[in-house]
This record gives sequence, C-alpha cells and structure tokens, in this order.
Amino acid sequence: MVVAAAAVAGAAAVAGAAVGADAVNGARAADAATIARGRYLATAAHCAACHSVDAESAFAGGVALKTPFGTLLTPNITPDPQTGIGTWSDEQFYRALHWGLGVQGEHLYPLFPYDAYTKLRREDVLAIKAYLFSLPAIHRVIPPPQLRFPFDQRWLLGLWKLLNFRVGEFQPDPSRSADWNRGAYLVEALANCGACHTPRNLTLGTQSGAQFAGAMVGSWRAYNITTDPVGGIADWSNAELTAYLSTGVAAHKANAVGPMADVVEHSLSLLPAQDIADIVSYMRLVPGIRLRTQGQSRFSWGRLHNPVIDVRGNEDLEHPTGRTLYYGNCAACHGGNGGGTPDGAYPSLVHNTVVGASEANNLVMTLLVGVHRTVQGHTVAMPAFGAVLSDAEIAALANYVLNSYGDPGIAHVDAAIVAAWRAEVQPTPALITAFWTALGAGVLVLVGGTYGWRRRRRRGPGKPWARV
Amino acid sequence: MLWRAITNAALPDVTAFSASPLYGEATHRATALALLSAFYLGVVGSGDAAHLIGYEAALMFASTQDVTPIPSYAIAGPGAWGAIDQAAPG
Amino acid sequence: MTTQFDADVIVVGSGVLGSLTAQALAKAGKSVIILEAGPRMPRWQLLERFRNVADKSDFNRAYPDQPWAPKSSGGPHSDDYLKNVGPLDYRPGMLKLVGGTTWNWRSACWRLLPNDMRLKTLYGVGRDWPIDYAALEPWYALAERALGVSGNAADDQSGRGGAAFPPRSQDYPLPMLPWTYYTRTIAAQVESAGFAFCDEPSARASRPYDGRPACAGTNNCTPICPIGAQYSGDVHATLAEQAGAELRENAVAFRLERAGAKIVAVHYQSPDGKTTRLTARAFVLAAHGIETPKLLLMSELANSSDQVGRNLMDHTGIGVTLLARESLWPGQGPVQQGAMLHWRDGEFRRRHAAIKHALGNAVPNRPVAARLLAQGVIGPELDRRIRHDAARTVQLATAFEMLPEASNRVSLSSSKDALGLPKPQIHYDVNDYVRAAAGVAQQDHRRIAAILQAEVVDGDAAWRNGDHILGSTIMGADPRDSVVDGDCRTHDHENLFLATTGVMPAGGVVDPTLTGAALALRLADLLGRSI
Repeated sequence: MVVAAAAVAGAAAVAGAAVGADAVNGARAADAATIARGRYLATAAHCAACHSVDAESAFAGGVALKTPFGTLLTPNITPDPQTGIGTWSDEQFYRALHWGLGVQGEHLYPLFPYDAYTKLRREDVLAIKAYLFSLPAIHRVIPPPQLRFPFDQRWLLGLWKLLNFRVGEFQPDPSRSADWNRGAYLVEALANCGACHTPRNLTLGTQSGAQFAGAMVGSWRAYNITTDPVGGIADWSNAELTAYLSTGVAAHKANAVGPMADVVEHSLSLLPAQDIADIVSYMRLVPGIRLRTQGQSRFSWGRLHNPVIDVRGNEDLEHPTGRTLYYGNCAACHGGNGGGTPDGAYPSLVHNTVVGASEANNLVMTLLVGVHRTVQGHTVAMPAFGAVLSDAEIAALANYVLNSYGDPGIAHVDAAIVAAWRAEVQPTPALITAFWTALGAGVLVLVGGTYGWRRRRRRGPGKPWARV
Repeated sequence: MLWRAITNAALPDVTAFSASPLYGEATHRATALALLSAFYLGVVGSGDAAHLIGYEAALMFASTQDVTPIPSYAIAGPGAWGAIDQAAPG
Repeated sequence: MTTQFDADVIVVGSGVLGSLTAQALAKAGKSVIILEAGPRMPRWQLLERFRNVADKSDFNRAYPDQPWAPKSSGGPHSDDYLKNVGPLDYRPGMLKLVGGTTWNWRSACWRLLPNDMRLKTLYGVGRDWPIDYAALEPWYALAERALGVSGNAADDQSGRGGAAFPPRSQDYPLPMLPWTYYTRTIAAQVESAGFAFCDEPSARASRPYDGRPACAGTNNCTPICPIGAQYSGDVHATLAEQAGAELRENAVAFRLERAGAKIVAVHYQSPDGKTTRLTARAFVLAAHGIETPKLLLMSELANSSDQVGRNLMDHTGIGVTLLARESLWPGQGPVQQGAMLHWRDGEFRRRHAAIKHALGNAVPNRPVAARLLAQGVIGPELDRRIRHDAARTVQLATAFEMLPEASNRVSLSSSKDALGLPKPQIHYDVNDYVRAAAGVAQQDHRRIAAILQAEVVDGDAAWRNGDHILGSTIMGADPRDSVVDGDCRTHDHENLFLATTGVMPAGGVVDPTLTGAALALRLADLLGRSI
C-alpha cells in the first residue's frame, strides 16, 4: 500500500512537474500506454511514408511529394522546437489533423490527408502526438512549398475544403458489426486506402461514387479494390487478402510492388491480425465498381509456354527482341515458360495481378525499379532493370511479357511512355489549372464586385470608384 | 542407312535396337551415337567447329529436372536447397 | 607554373581490383580515368551468349573473342594468345571486358592466414610478405563489405578444427549460404575421418545486398551468374563511374611513358588503330597478372630487379571425379561449397606444398551423359543411368601452393597480336615441392573414395590450371629482388602502383581475389591521401 501510494505520489509528482514544464504546450505527461498506442496509430496511418526520408531521420520530413503543380517537401514533425513541431500544443496538433489548419490558422495542403484524419478520435490524435513527442528531436529545416500559380494561393484551399472536406470524427454505425466499424475506422481514418485507390476529380477531391475504384500514384497504378469480381477483388479469398495485406504475397496470385510494397513493409505487416481481418471485413462490403477498361480480372490472363526451341541459337543479340531480353533478364527466375518456381518464391507471370492488369504501369515500373520488401525479417528482392536496359528495351520486354502472359491488348508500350513513367512526369494539368484559376478569379470578381457595390451604395450617386 | 536397317529388322524401340546385332556394327553404332549425342548433349562437333542444337531442351537434363536445375535456371527460392534433408531417389 | 593532367590517376584495367581502386579514388575527390582493353557488355547478353555456346567445355567461350582484347582461351584469337614454351600449358582464366575476369569465377573469398605470409621465416621455403596479416586485416574487412562476402566467422579456416581463425575485426557482411544435402553429407563423412571440412566464404549474396538479389541456386556461377547475386567486377566499374570516374572501353594500353623516374603518360590503342596519349599524376596498373608485367616489359619500366614477369605462380592442381554409392545430388545451390583444409598449414610445408580439396557442386549431367554415350549406353537405359550417375557424382578440385621461381615467367613473345603488340610468352612448370604434395593429395582422394564407398570415375592426375595469377610483379622489401613494396608501389617509380594479384609473393592455397581487393583498397587509400 505504502509502495503503491508512493508510486502514485511519484507519478503525480512527475506529472505535476511535466505539467509545469509543458504549461505553454498544454500537454499532459504522456504515459507509456499512450505512447504505445500512438506508435501503433502512427504505424497504421503510415505517417513515415511521407514524413520519413529514411529510418535514421524518422519523421524529420523532407520527402518530396511530386504533384502536377510542383513539388512539396513534407514538414518535420519531430519535437524539434525550431524546425519541427516541438512548440505545438495539443490543440494546435488536433486542429491540424481535424481541421486541416496550421499554427498560423493557414489552410494546409490536402496532400496531408486531413480529409481522412478528421475522422480520428481526439484521444487517438493526442496519442499520436504523444508518440511523436517521445521521439528524438531532429533539427532539419524544410523549405516551404513552391507550387505553381494559382496553387500557391493558400486561400484557394478554403474553396477546396468547401467542395471536398467534411469535418468530423468517425461515427460508428450501430447497424453494422463491431468488425466492420473497426475496419471502417482503420480504412477510412487511419490507413486511408482511398488516398491512393480512389480516383480524383477536377476539384482534386476524391470522386464520390468511385471509392476504391483505382487511381494513379505517380507512375504506379493503385488498383481497383472494390468488390467487383472482374474489376476488383471479390474473387480473392479471405486467406488471399489477409496474406497479401500482412505479408505482401498472395501465393500464386499477387505480389506487392512499388508504393504498396512500402505500405505492407512499414505499416500493414506490423498491425495485429485482428486489424487485417477487420480491414478485410470492411472492404468486403464496399460497393463494387468495374471500369470500362477492365474486361477480365487481373489474375486471369496468360498461359505457360516456353518458346525456347525457337529462341536457342537463333537470336540476334545485338538487336534483341523483347523475347530475347526476356530470356536474358527474366527467365532465370521467372522461367522460360513464365511460370516462376513451383514454390512461388519467384512468382509466376501467368495469372499474375500485375502482369494481367488493364494498364501496363506497374509492370513497367517494376521492371525499372525492381522490388525490395522486408516482412518479418525476410527480404524479397527483384533487381532494378532500369539501370541496365534502355527505355526501348524495357518497352520491348514489357510488350513480350504482356503478349505472352498478360493482356495482349495493351502490349503497345513504347520508349516514350517508359521514359515518362521513369521520370514520374506528371501530366500537364491544363484542365485542373484552368478550373481553379477560373474558380479563384470568379471568387475575386465576386468579392471585388460586392465591395464595389457596397461602397457605391454608401457613397450615393456619383463616381463609384473615386478614392476616399 | 541406319533407318532402313532398323525398319527392316522391325526393331520396336531403342532398347531393342541396343540389344540387337545391328548396334554391334560399327557404322550403325557410330551413327546412332552421333544422333543421340546431338539430342542429349545439344551439340554436334567440337571445339571451334561445334554447332549448337539446343540447350534447355537437351535430353541430358530430362531425367533429373525434378531435383537439380538446368544451369542458369532457378527451381526454387533463395536458399531453398538448405531445407532439403534427404536425397531423392537416384 | 601549373601542369595540366588529363586526370589525377589513370587506372589500367576495369576488373575488380582496378574498379575498386578507381571508385575509392573517385570518392576521395580525385579525377580518374579507367582504361579497359575490352568492350562493355550487359549481363543478359553474356548469359544468352553462354546458353548459345555450342562447346560448353570451355566457359570462356561465352565471352567475346576480340582480336584486340584476347582472353586466355575460347576462340581463334584467344586460343593462340598465350604462348606457352614450357612443360605445362599455363592458361588461367582471364577475360577482357568492363568488369574483368570476375564475370566468370566461383567467387571464393578466403583471407590468407598469418602464416601464409611468413612462409620463409616459418618453413624455410618461398618468400615472406613484407607486410603482415595485421596490416592487411582492416582492408580485408572493407573488401568483404565491398564484395558482399557471405561466410561463417566462427570457422577455423586454418583447418585445425579449432576456434575461429584467422582473427577478424568484423563479422562477414552476409551469413553463409546454407549447405546442400550433398555438402552436409560429405562434410560429415570426411570430418569423421579427420579431414577438416570448412565452408568456403564466397561473394554470393545470401540475402539481397547492395542492389544484388540473393542467390537463386541456378548453379551457373561460372561462366556467369544469371542474376548478379554473385559479385562481378562490373559492380564497381559502375560504382566508379557513378562516383565520377571516366571509363574508356576498347582502349588497349600499350606503353607507359616516363620522364626520369616519374611516369608521365600512358598510350593506348583503339581497335581501329588510333592511338591516344593521356597524362596523370599517378598510374595504377590493374590489368591482372599477365598483362600487367607485359605492359611493364613493353615499356621497359619498373624492372631494375629483373623480376617483372618472373615468379609466376598459380594454384595448379589436380582433380578427381568419384561415383559414390549413395545418391547425394550435386547441383543444388551454388557450384562450389566448402573445402577440406587439413593440409592448409603446418610443419609439412617445409617438405611439400599446402593442399586444398574444394568440393565441386556443379550439375554433372553433361560429362555424365557424354561418358555414358561414349560407352555406348542408349535408350531408356541412358536416361536411367544419367539420373543414377548424376545423383552420385562427387567432384573434387585439389589446389597446391606454388613457390615463386625465377624460371616461371611471363615475357614478350616474338609473335604479335592483332594490334602488333607482342603476345605473352610463358614458361611454367611445377617443382618437386608441388609434386610431393600431389602424391599426398592422391592418397587423400583414395581415402575419400573409400569413405564415400565410391569408385573413381576420372582419376585424372594431369595438372590443371587454378585460374589464380600470382607473383609476376612480386612484392618485397628489397628493391633488388622485388618489383613493388608493401604498399604495392613500384620500387622504381614513385607514382606507379600495381593493383593485381601478381604482386603476391605467396598465395597460400586459397583463391587470391579477396587479398587482391584488400591490397587495392589499401593502395587506393594511400594514393588518395598522397596526391
């Protein structure tokens, strides 16, 4: 009893001292449980994806997010007082995630997906803050964003919010199961799958009615993960979905590459099994959507065949065809017949969800940058062929793979598109720029016109624009 | 020559051929072995005069493909051989 | 007065040692030009060339046979390049292309033992190194990191079955590759007979490393790793270029020019006959152990000792092929794993050479099928016998340590190559020190055959090349009997260094590439700080 009382008194004393020291921040002394919960939430939300350049400078920002309007470097969210968020109070942190507002009251760019984080419960937001504040402060100055006009006008973001942002914490749906509600919180508030998997519209918000139907992430394609059996993942079993999310591999079907491999490695594979199950429960009930381009499911293409009899001794190695490049670069692991190895360690290209997709992006990107994915201490890797093959060679190779093991209808990749994807060239957003310029101009005209009309009324008849 | 001799002797298969007196005859034997060599080793001739018939399809690999690779092609994932703790029947 | 140089350092040869040197210097901020006699070729092309090669008994055939850049064998130009005039045909593997000979190797990466470097003092034979193991140790650690060596630091690599040896300041960067059933079974059986069996450290990635994938067990390490899991010199050729070095391929260096004792320029020739002169503050020759002394002899440089080209060594050896009673299945995993080291070191080195029995693990179907066809086996019986014999084939490659002898040498032949340059003339023989060891080795072979209840299929006692070119530009403390000092700097020319296994005055009985890499990193560090 005495020991316990002393412990409580001690804790109170520590808490008291912390409150005294953090009076300006208004922060409560964080206990180990809160920090642990914050670490878990930050993992589920994968904050590191945008805020950590590498493990050594965790959360110190500086990750370059390329947009069609310029590049934005992510902020330093370590507790450094000068260059990070070390001076932020609980209220300021909550406002950022819940309202999308910075410490000066400025609108934050929705590249920081507060449209999802607004759904986080307050105590969860503060747990994340407690976790961040338990980490080493890293001094790193991040230059402010430099976006093209009119996207450098932060006040326009107020319009964006009007059009696309609904503030509010997640409200459980009592008509749904507990699993579904937990899954909804994970998917909609934390893991925010829609940020990559839901396409955007002119207003740069996610398209309502197209949730999870697939979208671009740089040069990569985040696939349709709705419940459509052809376009989406309805025909994947629960075991396959669970394995894919928690390890990056659904045997003989799918292997996470690109940004999704990153998500698996640093976020999903670190979540408890129940979370993965809840995500699956939730995703099983989203509306099914099939895009026009999706005629067959991604894992239904291709057949094993090995034309090595035609190849061996008959190739012009100085002017290689896609087929020659396949044998030289790919067949050692993926087999002359495209079947990979029986244990699936080197995946089959037949009935492969990347090879059989309705766009060639992920196949080409995987050829260019390879795969590197570490889960539970085991690293899976495929070399990056972008360093040794030219754009024309990558194109020829991709077309051979698509013709042999994927959808021959899209086997018209050329060197120019490979070069564009390699450089992550963003399409010129003429329409979007025009829309927002017009919108902004319209608002200015409206505001200016109202001001002028009210001044004219106040002054009475006479020259309306005379200076006062 | 060899083909006619085999047909005339009505030899049903290679085993019968190898047991028959035809196989003892030098020219027939040499021809048969040259042909089989080409299919099994994937090459005719030697040294600078060698000519490739095939590699992956060479019959020398056919009877062991369940256990060992055709060199330059993987049959399992990295390090998988380390878990093999008994010899397949040979 | 300022002197303009084309580069701070010119490196001749883009193989592993030249490229390691060039990359280290470029990272230290020096301007570097690498001259490579051969072409630049992508891995995929070499792999398909291999698969297309008709005569696969010579793995060099996968590589191009260029008239201006002949290899050691494997094509009309190359086969007639090395002019052997002695009793033995010295023909160790040598390639000429960006990345050098380590495109085609088995990547064994042993360290020397401390005793290997004191042969004369300890055993009264051969020569001592002028530096000791302790001086080289930190560079071994860096070289293992650079090449991505997988191994077992707990092994006693001296073959005495004791504690970890030689001493190491760092663990291997990668864990050893798992042993195959074949290796495990044979190791256990020979160990029980007193033959110390040890894992062979190799530059094969046991897990993804530095952009290289993990070994997939395609059993094609030689002539070329299909996927780059095994290190090859092009890794550092590329890294050197990324660090700012300029690499000129198809550039055959044929003369070094000096002014007084300083080397001032190198002259190279292109296949079209055009010659170019380049100047630099310092020069590093990394053209392997035949071309390096050849270039020095053609330039009449660095030879006040008359040792350039002399003391040529290899790990000449013998082999044996056995047919064991039980199925063991060589061919799973990499082409070589482990070695018997009970003759690696000891007092016996006073009397006979050190011996290493390396256990070969190559898929044996081709020689097995050829042998059976030669015996006239055909039909389904042939298939059955191929499987039966392939499962039971055991291959041993036995290497001996050579001693440096003045009469074993590389010199200039009167025969000229396609560029009008003299071909290398080689006089090479083994001595009684090695012959005595061969007798011991063959006793071992018989003993091993008995342990495995094996018959000897091919007890070929003919000398075979070990692919390790040593001694031809020998290192020593005394300028009167050596070409370079302990830093690999030529005694005669202060700005001329040699990054080649040709400097090694004693090679022990292990593959020399890791030692060469350690020496190269060490000399690059010294050179980088002094210019």
